[in-house]
Amino acid sequence: MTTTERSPYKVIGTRPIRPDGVEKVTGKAQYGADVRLPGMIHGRLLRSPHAHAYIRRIDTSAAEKMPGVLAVLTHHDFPAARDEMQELGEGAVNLKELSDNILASDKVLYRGHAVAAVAALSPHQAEEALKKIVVEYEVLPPVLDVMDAMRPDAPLLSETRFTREMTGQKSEKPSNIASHLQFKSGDVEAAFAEADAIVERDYTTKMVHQGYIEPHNATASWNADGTITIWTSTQGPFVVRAQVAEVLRHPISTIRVIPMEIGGGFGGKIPIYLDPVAALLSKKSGRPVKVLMSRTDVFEASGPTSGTHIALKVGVKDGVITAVKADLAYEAGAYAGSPVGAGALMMLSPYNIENFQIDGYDVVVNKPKTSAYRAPGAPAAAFAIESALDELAHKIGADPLELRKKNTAREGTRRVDGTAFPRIGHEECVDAALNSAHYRSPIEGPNRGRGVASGYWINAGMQSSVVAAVNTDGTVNLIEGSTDIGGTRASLAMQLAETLGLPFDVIRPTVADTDSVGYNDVTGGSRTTFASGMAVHEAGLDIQRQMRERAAKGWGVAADAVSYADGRVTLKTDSETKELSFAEIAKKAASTGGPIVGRGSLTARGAGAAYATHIVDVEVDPDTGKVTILRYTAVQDVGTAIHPSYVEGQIQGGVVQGIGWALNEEYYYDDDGRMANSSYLDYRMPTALDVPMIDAVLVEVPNPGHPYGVRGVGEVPIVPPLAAIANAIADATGHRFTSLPMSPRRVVEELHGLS
Amino acid sequence: MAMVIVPAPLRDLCGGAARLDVAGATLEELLRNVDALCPGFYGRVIENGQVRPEVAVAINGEAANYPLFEPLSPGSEVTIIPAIGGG
Amino acid sequence: MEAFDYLAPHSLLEAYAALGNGRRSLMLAGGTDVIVQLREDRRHCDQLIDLKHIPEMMSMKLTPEGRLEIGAAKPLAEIYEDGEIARRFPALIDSATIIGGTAIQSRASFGGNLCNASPAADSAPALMALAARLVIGSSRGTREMPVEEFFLGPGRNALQPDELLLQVIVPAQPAHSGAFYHRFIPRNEMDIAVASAGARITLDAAGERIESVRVALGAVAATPLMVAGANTAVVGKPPTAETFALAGQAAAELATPITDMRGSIAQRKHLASVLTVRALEGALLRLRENH
Ligand SMILES: Cc1cc2nc3c(=O)[nH]c(=O)nc-3n(C[C@H](O)[C@H](O)[C@H](O)COP(=O)(O)OP(=O)(O)OC[C@H]3O[C@@H](n4cnc5c(N)ncnc54)[C@H](O)[C@@H]3O)c2cc1C
Repeated sequence: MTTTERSPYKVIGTRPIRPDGVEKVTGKAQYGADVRLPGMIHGRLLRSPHAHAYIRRIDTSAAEKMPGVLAVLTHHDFPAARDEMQELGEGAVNLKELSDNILASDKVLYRGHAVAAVAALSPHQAEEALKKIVVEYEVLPPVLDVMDAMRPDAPLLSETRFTREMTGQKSEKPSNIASHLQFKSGDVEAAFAEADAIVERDYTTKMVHQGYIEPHNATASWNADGTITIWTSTQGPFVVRAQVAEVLRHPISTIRVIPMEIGGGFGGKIPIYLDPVAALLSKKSGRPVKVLMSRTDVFEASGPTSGTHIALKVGVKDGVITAVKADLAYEAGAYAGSPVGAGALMMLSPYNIENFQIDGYDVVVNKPKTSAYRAPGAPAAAFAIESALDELAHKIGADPLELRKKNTAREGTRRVDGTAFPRIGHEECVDAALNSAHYRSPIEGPNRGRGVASGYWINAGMQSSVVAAVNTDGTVNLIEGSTDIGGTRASLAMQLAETLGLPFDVIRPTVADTDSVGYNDVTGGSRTTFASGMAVHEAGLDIQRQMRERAAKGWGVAADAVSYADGRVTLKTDSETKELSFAEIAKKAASTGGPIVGRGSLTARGAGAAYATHIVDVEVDPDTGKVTILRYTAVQDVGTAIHPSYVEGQIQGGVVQGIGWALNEEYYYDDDGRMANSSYLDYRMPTALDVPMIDAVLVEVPNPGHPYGVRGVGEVPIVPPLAAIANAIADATGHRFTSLPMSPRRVVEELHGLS
Repeated sequence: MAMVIVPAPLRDLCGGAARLDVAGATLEELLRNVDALCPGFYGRVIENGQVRPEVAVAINGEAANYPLFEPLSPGSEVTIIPAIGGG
Repeated sequence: MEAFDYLAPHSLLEAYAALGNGRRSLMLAGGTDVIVQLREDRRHCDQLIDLKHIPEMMSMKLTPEGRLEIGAAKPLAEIYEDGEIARRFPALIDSATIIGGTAIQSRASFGGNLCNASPAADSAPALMALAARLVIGSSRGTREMPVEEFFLGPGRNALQPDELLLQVIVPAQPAHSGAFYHRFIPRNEMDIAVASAGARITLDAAGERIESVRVALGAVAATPLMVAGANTAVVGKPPTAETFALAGQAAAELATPITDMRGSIAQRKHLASVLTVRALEGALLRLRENH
């Protein structure tokens, strides 16, 4: 459902079939696991059975003698890494930690941490050879929970890690707390003293995984001339190239990364894990090497998102939220770098709050190094604040949406970091939710309840580069460098078609490799349709200009005497009107100056933040604790929906992931730090049978920072569901859940006082 | 004049001020002028000629990878925030 | 995964001979447990013996007296697609239709489900409630036992190394009886039982008093569990909510579950009771619908 007025566009806002659709549904699309090269062999990794241990010795001699084995690798084969931070396209990375996470050097920091690799003629030979590698460990006690890790007597993951403050100060003693940050304004204590009502609670969430269907993979060929070719599943081939170049100390220009189709990423396919291993195995064996992760590897050794602990206190006076005090502690995993900064920054962004103090702690634990996951950091923070606001609304007898409306952030409101918001759409979302058929319908029946919650995500711009080459038949090849996860071939081709006034199907988009197109940042941060869309628009204008020049040349007039509209160039004088179509000009390109090629290359500014407000109805089985989602409505400010179906798809997908996070998903560890549920059987993501049709209400407040008003839409939909569902369960049962997941086990134990 | 919004952890350097009005035609000049008022400020934001990896600079609400000599228009607001990534 | 040989005997005799050749053997019925376990290095063998080419293993027969004889390797889909069997043994179909999805059911068998001896195996409580028996064979002859005696512990069954499970026999069901099987899973599909219960209820001819119940539980002990106490608690009583609650209580008392990633001790004991009551309600409903 959309709430737009009549659209000024011809292509934007329609719902064509995506260009990559047929290949994908017929199974022809090539994913990383489909790569097959002449002479190719298979690599596998040996992973640590311990969550925390020193590596005292690795003996690979027996493995090297196993049948079919052509290469064995340990960290000794990696160039010594510099212990320094480097900006590699998506946040800064410590190079030593990046390298150690790929193959551990002195210490393993989580179960599943890779310690060695083998390449053999068959995958089974590689697996058997792994068993012959002898690793001597000195096992250390693991620390698995963020609160445990912050205790002064906790086992230390690193003796040389000190808590860093934004002031540049460092803690006196080593600590698992890698850094502390703070946002502060007004007088929090005075505001609490005057508050009418206060809610104070601790909220916890467990480590969860993005759950992309396709496991990580990399195939590499170290060529005789010293160049390296890598085929892989990634959100950013240029970022892979940059990271591999740093880890292998190999010139960036000699590395070519070919992005294969990608079976989901959600932020988890930004870091590299296998690519340098495949490359070095290829160098040692002289063969192309393909390395695949198993599902268990993906769970244990890729980059899930943080478990969190948030201590929160919120006060209201006369219906106005006057004070917030929050302590956010996020698990970074094995190395520093949780999204606690984002959580702290975004937590209060839907609201206008005068007095607050927010402290964030980035904490290492013996679990895999976290990476980005859809709106990283924001869902857990929203779980806390949006749950507390629900309780406050009940306390003061306010409608929970009216409370949000009354306190909404607007243009000019300052975010916790002090920046003033430009035009934003939170109030519009709350209004649309208040007026929705869903919210106006009664919620009836025993054990049923309704919850609402809002969410915010900042969205990114960053760099994009495209080339559009006009063919002689009037079609256009659009060469882009953003891997297509959620339908961006379609959304970019549509923007080019709109710019050129052409039908959608004459644009042929291709995702190119790193040798074939200018630099592009990752497909992430909800940036691709926005930022690459701006580049596409620029390329379209470039083509328009050349089309006018070509036509003008033929008519013997100056280029600015002719105009371009609706795919035609027109010359209007007092006496006559001359016209040439796009295809006619394209056909004559050879005689009018050669190929017509447009380019767009930019750093996109003006991303424009995204807001969402969700409504959910649930039913709780009081005997089993099972929660059924009866109805779900997600209202979102989407800027302009280029392809409404794919915008709805993004919203529905985000909500489904949020439902899983709320109800069942968690890394379930035993005391030794072994994840006991590292399969899709026991790591319970929702299936199609567990969710109702999710109604996406698209509120279109065009983003002034984009030629077509585009705003990133992909991330914010995962922000509100955790709290919305907790609020609905509280409404249904009278029990307030402050820990995720709200699994049947936890719900039934709580309802019946069992544990 | 541009307005610099001082992040809470750096306010001690600036006598507790949360906002400062400082002249500066570029980011570099602005930060140098802030540093004159709040000794040590520049080094908390810039290292080896670049914005430190753990922070980001936002100009008029837009956090981006700005060059040191990014021109500032009068009335600009400059904020220092923790670096964040998206998924 | 280690290398192994694949054998496809066409008769029981051939299969017994292969079993006796001194090498480590595993059977392949549907392979939906064993192939996964081999791939994950959880089991090892020198030879995998395919049972699907042996006629006895693939047979299915309903006798005139209403007794059902199912070959141990018969795919589940072929069982539940038989309308007559589905009508007579709905509790059997309850379990056959929830083991995996269509693809799994086209390969997987009751024999494999039972021999794999998972405490959570979905066919076990259903077959126990129906008082099913197992026919076991070897070159030494055949023997029979009630299903509930077949399980010794997680992954361990009563077969000797030279024995095969040949048949599952479901006897003709008593008059005035109904049966039902269900499990509790956190999702609605693609899941394994946190706890499960099968129940058969038999009433007197007037339909007023309980003549007997057979209640069996899954996933709440080291093996599927027959709850004899449920029968004692309810026999002679009217089939009411209060009566069923007594059976539920007996189930919860007998259960000795563990806490793991699928559920906790407290939750599983609680579910043993809830699921028993609901299974009895389902069984009673079926009984009433048939009359
Ligand atoms: C995706 C998926 C979903 C599943 N869902 C469920 C579920 O919901 N509920 C459930 O209970 N199970 C489930 N399973 C497990 C499995 O499908 C069942 O246990 C199935 O019934 C096993 O039957 P099979 O014929 O495939 O056994 P196989 O894998 O062929 O054999 C299993 C074991 O029994 C032995 N064996 C088999 N037949 C004989 C015989 N006649 N004599 C002696 N030994 C024998 C084998 O040696 C092996 O050790 C699932 C499995 C998968 C892969």
